[in-house]
Amino acid sequence: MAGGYLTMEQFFMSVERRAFRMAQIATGDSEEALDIVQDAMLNMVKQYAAKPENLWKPLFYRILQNRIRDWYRRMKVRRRWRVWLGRSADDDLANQDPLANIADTGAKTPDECAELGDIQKMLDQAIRSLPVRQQQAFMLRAWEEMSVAETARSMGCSQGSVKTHYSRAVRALRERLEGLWP
Amino acid sequence: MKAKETEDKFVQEFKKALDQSARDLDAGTLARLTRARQAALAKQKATVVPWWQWMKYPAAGLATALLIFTFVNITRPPQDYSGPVATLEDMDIIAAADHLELYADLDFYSWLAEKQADAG
Repeated sequence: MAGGYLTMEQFFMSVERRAFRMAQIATGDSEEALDIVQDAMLNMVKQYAAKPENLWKPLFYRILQNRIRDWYRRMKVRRRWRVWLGRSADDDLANQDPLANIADTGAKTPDECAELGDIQKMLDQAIRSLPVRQQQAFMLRAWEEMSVAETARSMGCSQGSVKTHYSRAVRALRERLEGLWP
Repeated sequence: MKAKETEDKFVQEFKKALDQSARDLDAGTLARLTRARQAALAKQKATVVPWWQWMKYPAAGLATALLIFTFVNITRPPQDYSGPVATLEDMDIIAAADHLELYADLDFYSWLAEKQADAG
C-alpha cells in the first residue's frame, strides 16, 4: 500500500472476510454467501473501479447489501410459490415483508446455544433474528465502524433511519443475548 | 451515561466476537474467496475501455487549444498597418473607371497641354 493508495485487490482483501461473514449470517448459507460476495466484487469492478478509493467501501457494501436484500426477495417469492403449490401452509410467513420483518423463527435461546458450547452460532442466530435493515445497520456501524453518513449511503436510506435501525438492533441483541454480555 | 457505557461495551464485545469469526474462517472458504477476488480482478483487466473513454483526453486537449486560439484572436488589439491606406479622396478614383484611364494616360495629356500652350 505504497503512499497510502489501495489497489482494488488490496481493498478486496481488506473486506472480503467480513463481507462473507455478513452474507453468511444474513442468509445462513455459506454457498449463498460466497455467491453474493463474488457477485458484489464483480459488480464493484465493473461499475466503480474508476471511482476514488475513499468511496470504495460504502459502494462495495451498498452492492453487497443490495445482493443480500435481493436474496431475501427471492426467498420470499420461493416461499410464496411453495404456498401456492401447497407445499407449505405457512401463510403468515409468506405474507411478511422480508425487508422489515424477516426473522429466524427457529433461533435458539442463548441458554440453548450455550449448552451446545457454540457462542458463535448463538451470535449468528441473534443477528439473523433481526429484520434485515437492522442487521445491516448493526453490521456496518458496529463491525465496519462506518459513520452514520457512510452507513446511510451504503444502505441507501436517510441518516435518521440508520440511527433508528441501529438503536433497535442493539436493544434487540442485548435482550436476546442477556446474560452473555452486560 | 452508565447505560451508554454498557451499550458500548456490549457492542465492543460483539465486534470482537465477529472479528474472531472472520479470522477463523476455514481454508476452503478462504480459497474460494481468493478465487472470487481473482475472477473479479481478471474481469477488470479484461474490460475494454470504450472509445469515448480513451478519446476524451485528446479531445479535451484539442478543445483547449481551439479555445486559447479563439480567445487570443478576439482579445488581441489591431496591429498598425504601414502600407498605403485608401482615403476618401482616393475613393472617386478607385470607383470611376474613366478616371482610371485618365490617370493612366497622364503623360500624354501633359504633353498635349504643353503643345496647345505652344500653339496658342
